[in-house]
Amino acid sequence: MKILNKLIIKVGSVTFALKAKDILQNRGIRAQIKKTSNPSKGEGCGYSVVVPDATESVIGILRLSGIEILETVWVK
Amino acid sequence: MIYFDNAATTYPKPEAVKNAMLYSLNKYGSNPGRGGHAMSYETSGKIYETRKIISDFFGIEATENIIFTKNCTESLNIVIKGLAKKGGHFICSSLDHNAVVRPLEALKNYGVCSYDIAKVEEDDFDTVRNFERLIKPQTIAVVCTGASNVFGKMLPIKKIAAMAHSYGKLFILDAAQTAGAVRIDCQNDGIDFLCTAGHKGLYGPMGTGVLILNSNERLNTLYEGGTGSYSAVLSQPEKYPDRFESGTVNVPGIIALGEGVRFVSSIGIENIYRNEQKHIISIYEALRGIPQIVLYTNPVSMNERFMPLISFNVQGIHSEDTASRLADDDIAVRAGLHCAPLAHKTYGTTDTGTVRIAPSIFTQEKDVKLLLTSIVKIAKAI
Repeated sequence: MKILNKLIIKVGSVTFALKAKDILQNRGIRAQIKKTSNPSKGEGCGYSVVVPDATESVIGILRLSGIEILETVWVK
Repeated sequence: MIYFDNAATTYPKPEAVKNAMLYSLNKYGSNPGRGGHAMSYETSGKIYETRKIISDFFGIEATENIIFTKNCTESLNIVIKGLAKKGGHFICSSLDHNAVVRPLEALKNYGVCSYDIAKVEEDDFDTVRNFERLIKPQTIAVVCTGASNVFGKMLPIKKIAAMAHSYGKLFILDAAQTAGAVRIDCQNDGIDFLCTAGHKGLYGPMGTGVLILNSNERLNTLYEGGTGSYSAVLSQPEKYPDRFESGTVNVPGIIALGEGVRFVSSIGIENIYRNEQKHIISIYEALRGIPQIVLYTNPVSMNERFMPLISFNVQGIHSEDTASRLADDDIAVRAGLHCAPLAHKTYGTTDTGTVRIAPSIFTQEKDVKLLLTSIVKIAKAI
């Protein structure tokens, strides 16, 4: 699968960010949590999971694990 | 002091629990789920780690469904009042603590819900039948304790839950007395909502409690506030655990509670029960031979299951006086009604209360000997 650089996954609460990080790390995918830097005006503050070396499968893994993804941003 | 008041709060606490409290105050001094700096992330990580420890312990997959509260009473209030709707009905047991009964009584007095009390019998089959007879179309949930906090009598919770589910009703367990001494698996036991204290059999600090959500049933919130998430939205978030964890949580307490649960797991629930029950049987065998002593249960009964605790009275002396005389010998027990008037009514001890003896994993045989010596002295003095 194609490597697509850094992926920022906005998930809302810190618990879901930590859960997402946990799920990814259990699959050998490096991830860290970060306060969402540009939260949408409608929602306000929250947390994101940052995956430095992500593939598209990361999103699928999290969705299948019940993580509600609010937004994804690819950083090339 | 010789401490036999462990059914109220276990004491002493394991070293790991005490160390975690102090370490947390120094190391995890920031709000979890709020800040974007290193200490906030680390604190959030430790809280999440504790959610995982507790979800594993009680057989729950979704770590976000572990809600930290300040005690079992708060957990029960969140669930009972969160489920309540006008015209609804609840069923509790004749051995329940006021933590269950008072929220139900309050809902009744507000004109919101009614409730009935199912008598707990010696035979589990009869107990389940008593619950079943009280089911109505408007029944929302069956809520009951896993065991009497006064007499130790255990309820057949798995059978009660199965019965409730067969009528499409929810099952709420008050596990304040059983968590840590009896294996509880929310999935296997059919528990929709588990409420428990952190400071009893889980060996955590006071001011910690847990609510486990194992049902998709939506709960209204008991209180609302800041959660560090979805902050621009004025309504309370739907997502767990934020929905029920407004305001700053008890970080040192929660992290220490995690160590308490680790401690219990490391010894083994069955080993803890066996060790404590060994002391209770010794106490029972000694007390049953004293004519002035009144006992209410038989912990070696083949027909009933009991938690490792026992209640007694010395004939002619109020339970509070007996406890006071034991305190004079530096022995700590609990007397009176134990916040469980229904249980005392069931066993006919409302007027006198009882003296409750509850060991912990730290209780030693020499403690039991000193306790018995003191009780014998009190009994012979009358």
